[in-house]
Amino acid sequence: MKQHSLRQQRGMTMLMVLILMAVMLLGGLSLARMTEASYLITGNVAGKDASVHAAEVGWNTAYNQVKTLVDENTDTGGWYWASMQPANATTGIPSGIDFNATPVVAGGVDRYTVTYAVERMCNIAAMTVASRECLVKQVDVLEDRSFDAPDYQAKNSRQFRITVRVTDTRGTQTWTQSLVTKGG
Amino acid sequence: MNTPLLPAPATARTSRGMSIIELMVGLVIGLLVSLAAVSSAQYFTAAQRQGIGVGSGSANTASALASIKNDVANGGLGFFGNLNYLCNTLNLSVNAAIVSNNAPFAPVQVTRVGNDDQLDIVYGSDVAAGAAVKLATASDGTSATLKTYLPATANQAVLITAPAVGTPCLLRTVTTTPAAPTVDTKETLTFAGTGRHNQAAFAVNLPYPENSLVSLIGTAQWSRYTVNGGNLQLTQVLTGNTVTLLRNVMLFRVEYGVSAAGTPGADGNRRTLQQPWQKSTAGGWTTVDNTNIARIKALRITLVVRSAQREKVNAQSGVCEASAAKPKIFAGAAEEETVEPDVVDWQCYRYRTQTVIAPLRNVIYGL
Repeated sequence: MKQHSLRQQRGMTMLMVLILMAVMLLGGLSLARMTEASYLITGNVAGKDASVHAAEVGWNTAYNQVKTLVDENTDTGGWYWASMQPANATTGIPSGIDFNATPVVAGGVDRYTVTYAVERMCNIAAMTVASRECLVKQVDVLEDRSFDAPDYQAKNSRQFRITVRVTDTRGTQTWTQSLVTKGG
Repeated sequence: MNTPLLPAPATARTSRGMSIIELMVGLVIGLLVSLAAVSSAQYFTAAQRQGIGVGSGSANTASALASIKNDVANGGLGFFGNLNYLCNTLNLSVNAAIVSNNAPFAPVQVTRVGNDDQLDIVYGSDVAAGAAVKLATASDGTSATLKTYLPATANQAVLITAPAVGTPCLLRTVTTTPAAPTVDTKETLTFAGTGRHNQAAFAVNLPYPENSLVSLIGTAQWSRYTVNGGNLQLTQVLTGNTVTLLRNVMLFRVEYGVSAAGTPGADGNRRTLQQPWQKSTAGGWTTVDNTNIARIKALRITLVVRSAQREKVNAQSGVCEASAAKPKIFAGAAEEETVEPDVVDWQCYRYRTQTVIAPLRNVIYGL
């Protein structure tokens, strides 16, 4: 009988210590989790900012390619499409382009992989009349006063949509788009 | 002969266990250690929570500023026609509700409200908004015939801008995907009364003449950042949705980074920021319109936040030592300003000030 009572008391001590340790452990874990979340948020914000900067390298690379493009009416090199490709209605990202096959900026940008695609803002690849088949930026110039001059022959420049995908080492993707002008 | 190995018989002493005296002593020592551990844990936990609270506040502030910076980066897309800004006023409705009835408008506008600033950022979602096309014939706002191709589809918004300042810009929703133009036929956008931005009547509803500009907005975004009851809130003006981005905000200030006035010189004085940054209350900057918007190159956004948890007073000195002085923004600069905390015992809280500069790419490239 005496031995039974002794065991009960020893068990209670153990139980109290276990409960106390469990409470302290949970408290520590929750604080650690809060700290970790703060670091994650800060890291994500910094990562997003850096990836947008990395995208600028993609824009510049694509823009330089557009400037030297000779045949605008033909899809070229896996990076250029002579007409607009189907795009996601919400994000505007061209869903008709496989960005795993588009060219990557050589050497990467820091820890980011930058790839890009360019679409001419035309509804047809074999463009003949830019102003009726492509989005153009009309420049204010003196009008053609000749008899029955067609208004679609106004001075204009073609628009190219550059889409850049930046992927970091964890696979997080940042997409950016820009519109550039060529011709006049 | 092999002798089997048997376990040694247990002695009476080992099977007896601890005596009641040993147990009581153990319990008392354990209790004392537990009490010491609990009080230490409370102390360190409070200190850690305080530190984490301040750290989280800084992280949350950085996160909020990053969100605002992303929004600002898009500001103005679709509103700069072809190297012009002509939307000093705007007609805009959402369903039957009028949001702007020929009211003064700028896609980037800072307004002083109380002691804080309110930041309004408006832009289109479609990158094609960067290029505007022209009306082939006058439009009364129910349809628009275009000189050149615009890749618009049903339910997308377009902005119609008159060729000169004075007529409010008009946001309309395309209700039917137009047929693609040909050499012989022009593209016509239709704005039926069922469209999201087509349902209200405005006080000034002038026809838009030939050569008015039409840009493809896609989905119009209007973000408004305000401080309400110490909370930094983001309101999507066109949907009415409001979210709280940050709590315990002591000050929210936005300033314009502007270039020199006048025509561009050889040194590119239209591209170089002048000092100082211009407050929203500064002369010439209370209103943004076609006369000054091209000079705005960036925004400087500053947030001052207070820690959520009050710190204890110093047991020896009897006073709080968390903050020795009230927070300041731009200390040492011409724009220096002392921030008035929202609590009497301000010394018991910590304050963090963060500033971010956000370039206005669409203004820089669009004008």
